[in-house]
Amino acid sequence: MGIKFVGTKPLDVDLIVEGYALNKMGHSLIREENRQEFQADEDAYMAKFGLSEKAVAAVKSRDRDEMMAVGLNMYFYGKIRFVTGGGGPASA
Amino acid sequence: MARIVGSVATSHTPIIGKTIAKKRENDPELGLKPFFDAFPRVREWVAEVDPDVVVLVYNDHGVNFSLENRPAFAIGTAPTFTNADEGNGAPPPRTFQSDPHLAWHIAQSLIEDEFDIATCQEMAFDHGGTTALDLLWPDHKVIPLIPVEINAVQPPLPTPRRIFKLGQALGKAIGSYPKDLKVMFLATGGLSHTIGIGGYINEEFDAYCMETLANNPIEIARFTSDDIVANGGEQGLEFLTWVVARGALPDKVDVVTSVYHKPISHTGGGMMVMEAAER
Repeated sequence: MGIKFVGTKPLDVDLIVEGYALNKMGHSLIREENRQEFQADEDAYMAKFGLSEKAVAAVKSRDRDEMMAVGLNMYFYGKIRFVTGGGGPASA
Repeated sequence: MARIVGSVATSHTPIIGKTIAKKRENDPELGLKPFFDAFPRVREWVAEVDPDVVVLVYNDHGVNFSLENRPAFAIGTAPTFTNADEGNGAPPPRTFQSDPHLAWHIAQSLIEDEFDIATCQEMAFDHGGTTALDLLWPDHKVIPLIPVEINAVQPPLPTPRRIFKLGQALGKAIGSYPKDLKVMFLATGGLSHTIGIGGYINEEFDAYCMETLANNPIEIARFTSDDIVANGGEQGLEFLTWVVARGALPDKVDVVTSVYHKPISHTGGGMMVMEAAER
């Protein structure tokens, strides 16, 4: 049986702290009015959530890995992907 | 006294719900027929055991819970719940009935058992909750349900050992409820996958998890959450909902029926029905 045991990995607190605003914005997109607001003016919407420059650049790249690198959680990634035209389910 | 009639555990991949909604279960293009073909037997079993209440064990997908408040364990204690817009459009609205007396009894019993579970007077289900219900009751039959949610979103996550014990504590809570009720557990999630990425299906690990859960569930407790992620992908953690539903049952169980089918989109798909072994 090829089961890997890796134990408990240390938390990346810096990433948790950095990613919070972006994840909070992702969660906000479960509301239609917020999706419309994002799509009408993406920069203003991101500014409202206080996203860092790095986080703004990551969202604009539309690249999953770049967003993950600034702390985006997978469960909130789907909601950003959907509103930025990436399609697919918002979660899985 | 209330008693547990058994546990159903199943994958809840969104394509399952969409396929049911479009009545495409037998569509060869989707390749999901072997999975759906396993469910008439499940529905037959559910009709036989005839539950009065369902305890629905699921993981929220960043919908009802944001990171603003992220409990390790939560129980819905309201009389009704709704379904949710998950970020890709509001689904046709649905309302689910509950049994708040039993829910609050469970909450009280868990707290006395040192499980400090969060109580929710409002809770919106995502597909993690609705898919399993639709597999069992495609006609949307109204059956009272009590949602129990476990954090699979952001570490630190409750350990598999703790999650198994939560199931045991839930079993104890139901066993001490004075009303004559037949309670069924319905766990939803898994098996191996990472959202939106192919290549994380681990059939060997999934088979190990299903077999071990039935026959020697305490062995699952030797894993850390990160071990499960390392073997079954980030959302392989959803298997822990199955561990809760197993923990609520006695040491010896019979597997009434089960299926494993892959891929269901990017997931290893599984279902298993367990009930207390004949003594």
